[in-house]
Amino acid sequence: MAVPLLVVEDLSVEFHTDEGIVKAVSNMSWELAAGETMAILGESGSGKSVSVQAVMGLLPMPPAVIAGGSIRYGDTELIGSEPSVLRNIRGPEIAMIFQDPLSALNPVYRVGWQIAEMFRMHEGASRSEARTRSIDLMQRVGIPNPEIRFRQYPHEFSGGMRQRAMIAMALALNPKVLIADEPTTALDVTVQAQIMDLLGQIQADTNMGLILITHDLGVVASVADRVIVMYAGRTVETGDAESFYRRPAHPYSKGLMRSVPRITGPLERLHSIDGTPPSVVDLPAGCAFATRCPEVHDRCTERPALIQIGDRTRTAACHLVGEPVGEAV
Amino acid sequence: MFRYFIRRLLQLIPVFFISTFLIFLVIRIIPGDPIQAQFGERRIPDNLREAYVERYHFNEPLWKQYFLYMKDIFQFDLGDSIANQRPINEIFRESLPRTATLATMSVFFIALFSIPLGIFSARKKDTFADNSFLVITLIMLSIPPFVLGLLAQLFVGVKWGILPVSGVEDGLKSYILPSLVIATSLMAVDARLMRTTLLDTFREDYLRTARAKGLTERRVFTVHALRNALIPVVTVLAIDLGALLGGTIVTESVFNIPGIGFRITRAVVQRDTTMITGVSIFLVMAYLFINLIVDMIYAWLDPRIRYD
Repeated sequence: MAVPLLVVEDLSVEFHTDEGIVKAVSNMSWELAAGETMAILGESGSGKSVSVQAVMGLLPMPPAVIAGGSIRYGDTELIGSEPSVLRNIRGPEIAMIFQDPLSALNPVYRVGWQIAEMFRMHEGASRSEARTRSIDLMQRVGIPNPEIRFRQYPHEFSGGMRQRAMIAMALALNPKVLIADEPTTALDVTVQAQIMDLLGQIQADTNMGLILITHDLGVVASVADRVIVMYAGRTVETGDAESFYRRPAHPYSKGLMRSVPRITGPLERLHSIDGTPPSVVDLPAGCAFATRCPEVHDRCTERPALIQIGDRTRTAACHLVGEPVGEAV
Repeated sequence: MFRYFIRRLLQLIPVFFISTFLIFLVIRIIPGDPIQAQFGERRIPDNLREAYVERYHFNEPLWKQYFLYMKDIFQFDLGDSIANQRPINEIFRESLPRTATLATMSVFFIALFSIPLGIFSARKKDTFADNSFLVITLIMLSIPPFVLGLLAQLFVGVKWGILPVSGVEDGLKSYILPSLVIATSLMAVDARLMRTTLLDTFREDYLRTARAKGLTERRVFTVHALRNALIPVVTVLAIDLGALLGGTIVTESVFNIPGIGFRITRAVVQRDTTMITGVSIFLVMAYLFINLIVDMIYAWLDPRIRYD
């Protein structure tokens, strides 16, 4: 693998609430290289969003606390660094787009103004220069009539156009890493594919690293190079997308995979994983998935470490993966 | 924006006619004889009574009285006061500037204190300072204005002699103390509103976006948070102004300011029915006008309103 742009090591994030300490992310590690697409997969509350918000320094502290670990961008340690250092990374180096582009855009400012703000604040560009460059950007992300759209407010945009505007804003300063936090969840199905295509095309043009937070296995299959599966704040499986799809190792991943409807093959009832995820306020000492796991056994009261399996890029946090993996699903 | 303005303006027309008619009706069906009220226990000579009846159209059917009254209103004539035998317009010319001065100065004080206080408290949420703010505003809300007015007169006016005690002889200076008294309770309400809306705004997704854009905290706060949080506060300030233009009966009486509130009190005591009708209809018009202005400010501050 090439020299990584962004390295997260042993990251733990907690929320100190009245109900107790919520371990939102426990001991997470990953690396991202230029041109690579990494998907973080998990259901609501699995900690996938929190982990990237920690990277961006966007978590409200308190109640959030970075309980340990390190986040390095190049040579810069992001945890605990000065606000001024972080400001020069957020935007120019690492940019982020969000799930709901309507609430993520400021309702009282024109869309163009919000894009132009990037040039004006970070590069001290003049009003007219920022305008020209913003209109170019809007054109590039596929917003028709950018001169007219520049002067409109977010509520005058459709959902897909709003997300394109968010992407334009994120791309303004040519960041090397783009974090997309469920970028298509709030959009119509037809628009989802367009936005994913746009992200793919931009990545091909700029060779930036892309982190895709999602719970949509289909999205992951079509674009991701690598996959991280999270469950209850813990990493349960990592690996390259292709072999992950061919042969998921962790019982949770297998369950997820079987819950996806298939076009080919005999028509069956959709599979679902029984039970609900444990409360992250008091996580079990052992494997967090044990209560729902079809393959649960005595050793599951111990917390499993990530064990390397098969080829060197794949790991899974299950005591069973050392043993022969079951049939491919 | 212009179309929005026209639409809001057209909506005011039925509101105006219905509310003025109701006022007219209520005042006319109150039992008692407004003419007799002007003469106390004395007998009124028949010719004098007839002159009154003639002058105020009391012999006409109610709908015609209303019609005649509206005809005058559209020529900006509120009629004559029965008790004072003077045109109500003239009385207004005297008293309205006083009330307007008082109202404007009060709203100025409200804005001056409530916005910074609310911001301060929101930024210090759940600290000792914030909790003290909540207690102090609660106290400000619970002191009746006449108590506060009398205390202010006693200390600031009489004992320390900093500001005039009452009346309007000292120009703008005379209005400072009553304005502060009026502002006190409204200031508490508006400061709390400022605090709440700002705290709500802090939770908005677009602030997370603003931080993700690498903006300074200062810019995130002033440009992205404050602008949104001020929308409801500015609206309420304008509504305060509208309400205060109707006169503040208690404060104007305590400080002996012959404004609209003072006139209302007098008119009620004297059973001056034409004056009461005139003042009420003026208040309706003032309120509708201020509301229109508020809607325009609101649409200007929040672009989502303009195109609903």
